[in-house]
Amino acid sequence: MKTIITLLFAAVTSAAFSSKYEEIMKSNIDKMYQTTSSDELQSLANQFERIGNAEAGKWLPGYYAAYCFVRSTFFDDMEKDAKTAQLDKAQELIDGLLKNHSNESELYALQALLYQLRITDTASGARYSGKAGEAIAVAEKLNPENPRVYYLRGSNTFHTPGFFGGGAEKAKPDLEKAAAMFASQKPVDPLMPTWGADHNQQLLNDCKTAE
Amino acid sequence: MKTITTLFIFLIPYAAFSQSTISGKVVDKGGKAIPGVNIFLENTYDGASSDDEGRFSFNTSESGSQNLQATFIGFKTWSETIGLPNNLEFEIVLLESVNTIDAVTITAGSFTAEDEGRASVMKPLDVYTTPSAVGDVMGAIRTMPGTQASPDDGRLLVRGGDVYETSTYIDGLVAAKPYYSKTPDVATRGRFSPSLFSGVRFNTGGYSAEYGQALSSVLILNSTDVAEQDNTGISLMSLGGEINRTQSWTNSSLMLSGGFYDFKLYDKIFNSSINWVKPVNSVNGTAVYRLKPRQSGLFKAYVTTDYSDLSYNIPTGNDGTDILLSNKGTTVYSNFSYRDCLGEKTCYRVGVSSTFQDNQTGLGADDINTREWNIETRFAVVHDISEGVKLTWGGNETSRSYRQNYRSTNGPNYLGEFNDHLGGVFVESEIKFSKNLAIRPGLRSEYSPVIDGWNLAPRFAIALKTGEEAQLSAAWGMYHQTPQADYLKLTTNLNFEKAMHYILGYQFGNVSERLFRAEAYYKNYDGLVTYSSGENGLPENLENNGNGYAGGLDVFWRDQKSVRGLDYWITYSYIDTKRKYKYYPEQATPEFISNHTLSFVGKYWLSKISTQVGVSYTVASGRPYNDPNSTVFNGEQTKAYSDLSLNFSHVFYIGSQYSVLYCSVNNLLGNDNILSYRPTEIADAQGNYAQVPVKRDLKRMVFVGLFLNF
Repeated sequence: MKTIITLLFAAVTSAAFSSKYEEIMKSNIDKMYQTTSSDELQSLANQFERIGNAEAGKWLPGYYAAYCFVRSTFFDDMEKDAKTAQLDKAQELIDGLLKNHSNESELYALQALLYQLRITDTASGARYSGKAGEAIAVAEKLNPENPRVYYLRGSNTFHTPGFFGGGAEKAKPDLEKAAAMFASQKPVDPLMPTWGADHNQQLLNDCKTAE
Repeated sequence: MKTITTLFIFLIPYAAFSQSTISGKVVDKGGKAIPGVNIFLENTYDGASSDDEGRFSFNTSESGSQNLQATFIGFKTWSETIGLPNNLEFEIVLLESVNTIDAVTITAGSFTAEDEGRASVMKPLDVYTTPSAVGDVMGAIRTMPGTQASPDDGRLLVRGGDVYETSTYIDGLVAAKPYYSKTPDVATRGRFSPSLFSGVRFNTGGYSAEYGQALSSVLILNSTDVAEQDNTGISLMSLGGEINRTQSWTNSSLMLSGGFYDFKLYDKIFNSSINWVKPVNSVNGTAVYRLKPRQSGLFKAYVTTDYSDLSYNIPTGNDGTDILLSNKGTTVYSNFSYRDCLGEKTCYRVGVSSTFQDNQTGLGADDINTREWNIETRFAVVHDISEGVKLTWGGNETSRSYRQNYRSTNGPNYLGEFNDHLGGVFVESEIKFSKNLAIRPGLRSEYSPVIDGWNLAPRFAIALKTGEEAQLSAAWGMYHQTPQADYLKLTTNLNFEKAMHYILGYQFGNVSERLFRAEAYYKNYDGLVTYSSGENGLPENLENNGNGYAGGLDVFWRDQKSVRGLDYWITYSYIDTKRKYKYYPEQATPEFISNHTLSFVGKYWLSKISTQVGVSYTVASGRPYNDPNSTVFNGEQTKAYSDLSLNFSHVFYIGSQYSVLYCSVNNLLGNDNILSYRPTEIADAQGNYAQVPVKRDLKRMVFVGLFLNF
């Protein structure tokens, strides 16, 4: 009897915590996609990190914290050093997560995006687009249904200069595939990542202008 | 009752709803507010981010002893244990982390070419795109300040030092024969293909205690990691061909390559100043293997071998007689290294490199066979002691075996040999007191059994950041080198040659935009080997009797920003040096020294035709030479030297991989001045000594290459 009640309460307790987790995560994720302020993203990254510290076994809080740092480099005309610092911080989080969650396709997709953002000139382009390509390949192997795989690959190809085998024409098939998947897939888990669709569409439009 | 107790316990978290407010302000050491700091109770959701004024406030229902933390990029984590429930207010002072990206780096005496790293002044790609380099690592390095133009030599001559005073390391292991064999009047070039390296660090002085056996300079080449793509490359060049294949797997890769060079065509087309019998030809083969057994570990293996053969007639004096000089030899270099980490705080590197060379030189009727083995075993351990404090220690054992057999048809035969097992240990610490101040004290000690000599070499470097992108650096150190094999084969009754370096430098900007560097140095030499010429031409009376000094100023300016698509650098070196060594009767400026050297390298990318155009221009003041008929040693001076080189690289692709069509013209203007005079040993009937003028072997050189990748 005692055991049953204990178990029951334990279940209730964790369920209560779990819903608190989902609730806070969901609200932060929504805020994250809406904001274009790097200050706010910094504060959201902080929140995700706090959740990640408290929820030891989960990878999504750390993932979003890393994504906030990555995303913060899109806005506010960030300086090169500041950008590098944000990306380094995100990389540190990803490295930590990959130790225990090396089978998550999304972590490799985020890794690929991070590598792409490190590209500043031809030399770093050759280096990091190669690394991004590798991460994309792993993400695809782990989950071929992940639309970000094709979006990121398309974006990699799109930004690679023609004489290195890139360009709009070569990028198009991947971007189109990603667009179809973004449109048809409805997330089962509301906490799972959804980013990439808008930029993918923008790249597709650029492809059409290039034709 | 028991059940009730259990119930009660489980209800506690819900019952204890007493709220606490934690608030305050986060500032840096100077009292300036830091926004965006994460302040939170460890292992809970409760926390806040600081606002623009550094203020924060949050509520928590936690109780008992909790750990309050404040974290932010670029700062050390702050933490304090607090008791809850309780309303608390804090003024948190965050200390800057010394490991931030914009922290000071020790740069005195060092020029780095890396893809990343703020101390970089070049990118690895620059080796290919510098016209005067013609694909030679050493050639590209010769556009850096502190080096001599040395077009008649081809090797690195750094800050007044002779060729032997520069040591080359690959992945931390010595490469005893970094150049093809040097013969009189013909320039040589580096043995190692630049495509194997992802980073180059050229130290012109004041370098780390990890390296010994170099009086003037250390060139550190870091090879590439695991290859990421399968690739087949074919190079068709106007002086040879090469084919290579790279196969990559998940955590490993293998590259095999083979090639040949033949200068016969050049001798026919261009009028060589050398009277070739057999122009340089060589074959080579290389294997590179990489294995990454785990995230932090990397095994590298590199084996390369080459055979080369050449012969030509050299003038011996002004009586018109020539003698035939021939050189052929096999060299095998191998380098095996492994690096890994033991936990987060300790990493290590171990490795062994070996060089074997069997060289056959013919000098008229004389025949000289030289066989050398050089095997080095090395390890280093790096500890992260605490934030900003790093300790490196390690050791090396370098075995050398040398045997030279000199057979003369009309003179005595002679055998010179020696063995050495040099042992070295070092300890060095890098301490960052703040992100603006770092020091690197180190100590090295070596024992060389062949000369029964022992040395102790303290080194010290300091860097001080004086502004956002400006820093001052200084270095001091003692450097030792065992005398050269050419002396040790005659006598082992010698001691270390010694040099003391003093360096003071200033740097402003960053390489991806605009970078300025200026460095002043002074070096003191002592114990240099001196000798007098013996009857049979061999040195006699070898002693550590020489000494000398070198002082100068090196300036470097690189700009990739001012003009879109244009990347250029300008270097200027001034040097004043005199030394007494070798056969010098007194202190004199050596014949390889130009007091002033100015060099310009510019590259412009024409995106419309996918072609890069490169220009390099070097001008160096005249060099001293000795007129044996004069009373002043090395008292004469040649005319100034200049070279204008151009190159074009057109990039195109086959499938997804790029290929390059490359063309370069060296010495476009066809300057044909005398670079130096080589003294002859025999006086003519009138008692006068003749001098043989040394020029470039090719007045103007055109190189065409097609480098295909698929």
